[in-house]
Amino acid sequence: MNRKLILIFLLPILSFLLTSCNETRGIDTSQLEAQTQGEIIKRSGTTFPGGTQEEHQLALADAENRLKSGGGLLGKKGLSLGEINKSEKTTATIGLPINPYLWKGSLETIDFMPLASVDPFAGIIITDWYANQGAPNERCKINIFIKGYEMKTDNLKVNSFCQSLSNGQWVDIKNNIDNDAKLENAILNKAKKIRLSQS
Amino acid sequence: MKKELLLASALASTMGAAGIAEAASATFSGHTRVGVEGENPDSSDSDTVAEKQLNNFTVSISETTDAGVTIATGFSLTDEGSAESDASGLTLTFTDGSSLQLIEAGSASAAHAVSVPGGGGELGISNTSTNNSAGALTTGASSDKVGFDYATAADAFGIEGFSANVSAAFNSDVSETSGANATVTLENAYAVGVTYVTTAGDSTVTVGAGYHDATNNSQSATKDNAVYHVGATVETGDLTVGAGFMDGDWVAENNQMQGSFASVGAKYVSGDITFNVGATSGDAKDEVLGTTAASAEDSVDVIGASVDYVIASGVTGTVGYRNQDSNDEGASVAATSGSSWYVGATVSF
Repeated sequence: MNRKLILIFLLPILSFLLTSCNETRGIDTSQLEAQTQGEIIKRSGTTFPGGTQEEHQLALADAENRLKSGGGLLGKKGLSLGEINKSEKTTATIGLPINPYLWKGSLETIDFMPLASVDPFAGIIITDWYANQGAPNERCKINIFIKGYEMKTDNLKVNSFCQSLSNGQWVDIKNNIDNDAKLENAILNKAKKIRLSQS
Repeated sequence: MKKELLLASALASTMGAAGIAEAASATFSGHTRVGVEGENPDSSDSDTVAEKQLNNFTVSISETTDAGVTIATGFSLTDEGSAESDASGLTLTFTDGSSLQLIEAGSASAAHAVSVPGGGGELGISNTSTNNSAGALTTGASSDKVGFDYATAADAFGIEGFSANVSAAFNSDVSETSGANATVTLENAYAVGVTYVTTAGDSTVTVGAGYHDATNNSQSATKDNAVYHVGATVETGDLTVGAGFMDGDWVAENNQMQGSFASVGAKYVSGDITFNVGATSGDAKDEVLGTTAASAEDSVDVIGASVDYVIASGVTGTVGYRNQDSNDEGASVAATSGSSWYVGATVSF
């Protein structure tokens, strides 16, 4: 127990003393390479899992060889499976201030709906009214806004508007926010699939 | 993606929503270590020579969310004498450089053990199973796999060159055991490790330290795991020297130990060639659980040297030599003392 208490106090004191003697002030410490086992493993790019002591030693052995020899035969971090089928296929992005994957994903997700207005430079897609054969007394239209170049959820906004037929008149239905979010998810996943297929 | 795809959407399904995309990217890597090892124990006039073939294959899977958090996992297939498949749990790396390991958390103490140079290669005469000497700076830093390990980013707490880890593993529902033949299972474990890297003139100085504490389920054990290590390395140009020390109590199988380990070494890099030399000394007073402690110590003292030559990217040839003295309960054991050598190569891919 005494040893534990000593250690509990020793570690912070040691850290404090070292900090007090800090000679690295004004030096870019990111250029310094710590020689601890964890840092060596991290720096090497080895993907060997840690965990048990045996696994830790195995990862360290692999890491030291990678650092010594400048990486592995297939690069610093091994071979990416996505690179096997990598081709020169790219998405045309010239002039588009919006994310091309979100744009293509949006169009493909709603390709069964008639389009009323499309502006790729403003990132706006507005569909015409669409009624499903299974529910002819209900129709919807969708506005999609792509607001930036980065492929992230914040750059995608979907608003749906639905109406129901009542006494021969189309009457607005309260907007369903959940459906909008589900559509956004569908577009995001489609966009991601397109990106992966072209990476 | 931050937003989860909910396939139950009436509107989305009506509209032919996309299925779940292939979300993660994957890489594979590994290494193979192939060579010949010779052993000449003090108990025998004749040498033995055997092949060493150790292989590992690892698949790593990771993905980065919109928020910049990288989620990584994977598994490895290992053939290091006994075939094994092992998963890596989950690692979350945050945008500030900090990370959180889950499930296969390991010990925060081990990550901060300094890497003391020493002779390399797959060599060394195996010790008897009754010799329970400490064999590394990380001795005793074991834990159950259900836990976490949080690593700070570099320059933690506003201190340049400082980083730290804290980990915990939980296994408190293990049935208690007693008696000399019952194998010990670790229960809850907690660990902390710190690293400080600085400069002294033209040298880079690394100081690492850690403390690991773990309870166990044996009613017969009078010790829990309580080990610490501290060490330092100094790197000046192509020369690196280092020293480390570990001390404490730990349990393994049906034994409890109190011992220490010390390591010193140096390496010098000259172009594609690296010269390594080092010495280690480990000892322990071991006791079978529930029995009276013996006064004599187990010990293993090793002196080794090796030369590594980088043949190509990822390929290193190694020639190594090691001499060791082994004592069990205070008595020299000739069968596990003596010299060994190794000639081989490590190929990483």
